[in-house]
Amino acid sequence: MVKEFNLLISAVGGQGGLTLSRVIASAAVKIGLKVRVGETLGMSQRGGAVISFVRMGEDVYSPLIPEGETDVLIGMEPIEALRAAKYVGPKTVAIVNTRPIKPVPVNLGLEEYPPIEKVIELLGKLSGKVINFDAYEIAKHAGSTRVVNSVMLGAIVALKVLPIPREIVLETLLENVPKGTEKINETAFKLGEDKIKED
Amino acid sequence: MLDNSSILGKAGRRVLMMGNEAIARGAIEAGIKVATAYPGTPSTEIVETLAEVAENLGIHVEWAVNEKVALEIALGAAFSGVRALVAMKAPGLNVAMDALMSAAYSGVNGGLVIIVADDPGPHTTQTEQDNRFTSKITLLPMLEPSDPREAKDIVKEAFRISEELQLPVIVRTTTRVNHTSADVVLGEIEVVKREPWFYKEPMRYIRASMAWNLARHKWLNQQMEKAKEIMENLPFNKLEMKGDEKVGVIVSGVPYNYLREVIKKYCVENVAVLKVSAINPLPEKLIKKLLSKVDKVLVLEELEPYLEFHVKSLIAEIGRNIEVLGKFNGITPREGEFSPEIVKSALEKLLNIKLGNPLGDSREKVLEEIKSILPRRAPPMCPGCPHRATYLALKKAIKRLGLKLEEVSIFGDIGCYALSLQPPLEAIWTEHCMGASIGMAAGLYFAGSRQKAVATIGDSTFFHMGIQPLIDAVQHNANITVIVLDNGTIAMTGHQPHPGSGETATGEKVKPILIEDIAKAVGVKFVKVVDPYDLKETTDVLVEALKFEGVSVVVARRLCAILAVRRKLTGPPCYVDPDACTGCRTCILQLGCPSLVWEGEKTVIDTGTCTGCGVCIQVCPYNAIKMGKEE
Repeated sequence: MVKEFNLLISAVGGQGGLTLSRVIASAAVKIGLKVRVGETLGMSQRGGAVISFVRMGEDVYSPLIPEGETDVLIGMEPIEALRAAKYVGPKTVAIVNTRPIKPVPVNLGLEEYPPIEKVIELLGKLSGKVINFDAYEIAKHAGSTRVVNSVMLGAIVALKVLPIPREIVLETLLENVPKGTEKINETAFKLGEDKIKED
Repeated sequence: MLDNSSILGKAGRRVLMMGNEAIARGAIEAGIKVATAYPGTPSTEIVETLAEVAENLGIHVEWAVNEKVALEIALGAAFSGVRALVAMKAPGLNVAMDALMSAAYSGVNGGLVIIVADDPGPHTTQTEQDNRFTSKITLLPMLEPSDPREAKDIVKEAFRISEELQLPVIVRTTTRVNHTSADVVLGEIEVVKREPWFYKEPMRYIRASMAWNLARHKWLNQQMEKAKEIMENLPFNKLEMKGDEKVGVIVSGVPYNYLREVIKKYCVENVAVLKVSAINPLPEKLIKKLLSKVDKVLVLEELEPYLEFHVKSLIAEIGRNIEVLGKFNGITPREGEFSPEIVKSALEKLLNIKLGNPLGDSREKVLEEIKSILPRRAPPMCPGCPHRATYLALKKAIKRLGLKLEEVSIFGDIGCYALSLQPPLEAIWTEHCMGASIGMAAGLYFAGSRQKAVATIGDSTFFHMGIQPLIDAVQHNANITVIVLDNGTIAMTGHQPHPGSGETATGEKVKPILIEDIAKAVGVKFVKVVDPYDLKETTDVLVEALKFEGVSVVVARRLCAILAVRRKLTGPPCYVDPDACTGCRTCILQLGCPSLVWEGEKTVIDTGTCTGCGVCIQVCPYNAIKMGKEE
């Protein structure tokens, strides 16, 4: 039985971060794990920063991950991955989509978007391992830029860091995506897996 | 959102549920007949979940026009003997407060449970109001869960207590219960078959007789005496004590989870722990049991020192010398939400030891550097949001009248349009409470200011609390302009219908109530409806409205862009002709639409998010932005 497993999803509202947390948490419930998901909703559709804490295991009570205790970080966008920095630590495997979504103040010229290399470098200083690739391009290959989340899910399954079997994760993904988009999400999931396997 | 088979699932099933869904399930298990609310984060999903299954269950579920009306509807139902639930966010309780005070005197027959969702953080609320004190003002019983599992069971129990005491029971939650998901085991759904009937009892239900009011006040206090015994034995209070501990923790709500985890992770021993779920009346005997043994006690509670006050008075009562760690000596903060770190550090102070190793200074340096380079990402108005165009038109109208922006005060209100506070619009000057914009604008005029006053208010906010101040402004002939931003829905909380939407919470089609009809009916002489996507027309009408002497009302009507996308009503995305774009950035600097992306030299439109609203086309001085073509 898993004692404590902490997964953090950091995304921009509208990227499907909340769907991803629902999928992983539901899959964990299916195999009998105790689960806590901490998130704050209400602004999630609107392009704001959204963080989800997905926690599972016997010793888990809190909806929040203690600082530095994340096992897996899914950064759906580079600076959003960085925004979760205080939760990552030596045991963290961080997986980052390198495709930026510029916040409005950056487009206005009021703030600067840091170089992606800098983002990865800083994250690397805090976490055990950082894996990064352009999941947006892969999602496009799968047929829609809206399935970046499924690409990321496939990738973490291929990394074999989740305490949930692949088949259960995939099955739960397909149960939770909008009707008619199952095929495209499955393709995205598999392309995400391939990306990790080929590297 | 959970599917119906989960929310209505059989007893014994283990389901992943958000706290609010668990609360809804608790109400279903208690056999409720009526559920009402006005949407408000973090409470919205309770009634949203119930609305989905209302037809299956044969119950009435609705979005009421405001929280006071919601409570009165639930109260009327509970008078007749059926069980009713009403849910609201913390400020909603202030709106409902008048009804609630009298409800404590009348009492109820069927169980009435009021869910109030406080927001330590705050994440989405204007104040960090601690509603535990409301239980003292209303003299009503209050319970507080610490996680979704408990939330379900406590709601069910609250209905039982409500009927035993004949009193409304308040269940106070915080965001980290409402919006936390957990595996929850479903319980039996009670079959409550009652013939609703309202029996005439003037002394209970009429507050016009002062003698009756005095008698009911006495009755209420007697009921709360009885409540003490119930709360003392509430199964959700939990004392973990061997008897030889020298230190203890008294904790309520979400921090209990952080405490349990820290205790387990660092193998902390010899600490007595009392978790309190009965907030009013508090289980005094249980608290005294702990206090009779320990010499030092840590009180863990978010926001105000509610428990700590009581603990100190109980210490005085038992006459022992006990050191109390809490808010008064700054061990825990009074503002913001708790975290595992805050609880760990407080526990370290209680035990006078360090738990685990610090993460290191080099880490702190990296975190500092990250903080310094990280751009903010506050939620912007969505691509295609009609409110963006309305506020831009207002600013253009002000300029056309030869006025400076500081010469026209723009009062804001509660809803998505408050996001216009951000650059580049920086439009609203206030965002206060539901419906406040109109009264405040009138107040500025009555003060005799030379400034022009404009109130900007959303459609649902207008129905909620905007009509009365409009009547006031008309009666006293205030020279103000009221812009109602009508996007056909309660967008901020996730698109619930309101009286102008033409449907109810359960999907029944009804005749929409039009804002312009209300304005005309209360005597507004200048009433016009515009489409904000037509920037020129909207600006022209706003110029006229600002020039008008007296109350003018402009309804800026255009469906919320998120709904338009969902209903497939949007056109193809716009695009920028790179040869025509001079890189002047006017589009971005005026609108700040997230789909307008600055690529260093020119603007590019993100086709994945652009809704093709065409407002940027009207803004570009070089005609470089074009309407996309249908594929």
